[in-house]
Amino acid sequence: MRYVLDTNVFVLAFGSAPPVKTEDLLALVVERAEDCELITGREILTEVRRNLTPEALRRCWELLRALAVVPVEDWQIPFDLGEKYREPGLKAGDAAIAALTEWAEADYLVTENRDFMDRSLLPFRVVRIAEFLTVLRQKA
Amino acid sequence: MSLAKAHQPPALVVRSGRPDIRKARAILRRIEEMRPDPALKGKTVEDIVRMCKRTREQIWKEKLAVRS
Repeated sequence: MRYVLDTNVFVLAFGSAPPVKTEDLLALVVERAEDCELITGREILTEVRRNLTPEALRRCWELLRALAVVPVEDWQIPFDLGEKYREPGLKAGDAAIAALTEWAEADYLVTENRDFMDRSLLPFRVVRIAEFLTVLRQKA
Repeated sequence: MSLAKAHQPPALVVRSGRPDIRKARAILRRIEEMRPDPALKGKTVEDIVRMCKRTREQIWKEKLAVRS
């Protein structure tokens, strides 16, 4: 199983504190890393970089390195794929993330961004953190 | 090598090897120690989602400005 964590999920997971409960998410990402592949892209990391302090960003990068994650570069994703997602009404940045998710053949896009919700034509599932925690726990 | 083969995109590489779970667990402990990120203290999920959306829009404006 493959999944993409949207920027807001990274920022919540690495920077927030209770009552935002994301500790479980990172723990499950690590424990399921062998059979559940985290996919990320340069686009997402650039956005994460602008929203975390350098210290939090360093920890985020260290974790990605430990999980052997190789970020997908923007230029690798076909331009047409991004354009395809503009047509159903996604903004350019969101369309790029949808294109990354499809191109990487991910099963899930995990996000708290409501602009992605209720889009039935996507070839992957859009889930919020709480729902994705259930998915990861079922993989145990 | 045929022309078609030469133009095939490189295979999708999303991992550089096997995940080092033990190392990742140690990093997780350090992440817990530094919560919350001072920049995010007191912010709700909705605040953070809005913040990330603004960043995405800003980056795209910058990209489009460079292209035009």
